[in-house]
Amino acid sequence: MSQPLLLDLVSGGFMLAGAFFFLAGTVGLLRFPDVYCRLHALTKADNLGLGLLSVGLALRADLWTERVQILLIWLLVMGAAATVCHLLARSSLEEGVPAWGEDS
Amino acid sequence: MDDALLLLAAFLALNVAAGLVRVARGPSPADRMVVAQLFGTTGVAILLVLAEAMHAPELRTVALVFALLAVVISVAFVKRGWVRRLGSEPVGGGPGAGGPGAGGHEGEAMEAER
Amino acid sequence: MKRVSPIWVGILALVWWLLASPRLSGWWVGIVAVAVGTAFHVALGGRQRRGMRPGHLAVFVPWFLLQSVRGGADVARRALAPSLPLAPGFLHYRIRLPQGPARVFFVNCISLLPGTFSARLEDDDLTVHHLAEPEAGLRRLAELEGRVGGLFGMEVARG
Repeated sequence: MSQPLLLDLVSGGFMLAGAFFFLAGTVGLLRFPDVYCRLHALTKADNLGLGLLSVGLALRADLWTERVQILLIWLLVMGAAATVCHLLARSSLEEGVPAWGEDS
Repeated sequence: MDDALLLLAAFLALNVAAGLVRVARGPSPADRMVVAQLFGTTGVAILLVLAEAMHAPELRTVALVFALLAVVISVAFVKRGWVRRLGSEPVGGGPGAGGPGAGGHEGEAMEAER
Repeated sequence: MKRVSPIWVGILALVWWLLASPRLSGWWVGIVAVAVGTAFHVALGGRQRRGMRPGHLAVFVPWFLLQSVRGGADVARRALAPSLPLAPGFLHYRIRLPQGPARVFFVNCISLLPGTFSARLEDDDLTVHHLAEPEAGLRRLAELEGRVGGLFGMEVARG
């Protein structure tokens, strides 16, 4: 590996942090009590995880066009996740999926 | 470092596998659809990591396609309307809802907790 | 006949070039993609009169990134805490931003703010789901709306 050790450490740190948030998102998906809470876990934790991972990978990239590619993909996923979260929540409401702790 | 990246990709794949538990449990079709979203985001992450670990920049293009498809799947799910069954009686959403049997496995075990 | 902004074509071509680089062997596919993209842009309404002010992005983006880091950390903490500290529910928020791109942008951003996401929008009434602390959520919504208004160059009346 020709890259300096420091870069490896910093980018590795970002990627580890990213992996942590993916784990947190999965745990939330399994533990949270209803579909609405689970949507929080996925949209927020997983997107932060992907963001941190992207930063770590972008630091290691050889070409700046690769960095921009990674950034574009992240932006797309982030925008898509926000929209999909809204759509799924709305259709759950319309279908009358009960929220946890609510008597309906 | 490349080995560490492969480990990272494997760890992310484990997250996707754990998501399958939610698919099995449901209870609503939306709960299962949330996992499709997990597949999308985590799948993109895995592909980006593999692109770096295996020096295969093409995988970044695959990641892009993956991200786009995840959106299409979810939008299609929401647009189609759910097919909800209470007992054997289909309770359609709006006019966009499919008929009985059109929902496939997603429509089956929607539990109405009331 | 709607006008096609040359800037828009340029942006699409740039995006294609970035995605296809370093190998540009399929450049003709890119030309088709840019043409199709431009056609969709025109068909879906073309250029909006009031777009984002690029200069204000420099303020908005860092604030938004910080908020989404907080949002992720908040949800991770709640997911991993053994006691599962949740107090979820729905709250209503009266949107003051006018119809248009600014409002769409605002509603989308809510999902990455700590503890909230937008679930339904009927006229000006926005239904928001919160994980905990609805009052803090409402305060952040008002702040986000003000900042998005600033980004699009419009005043958002307080209260």
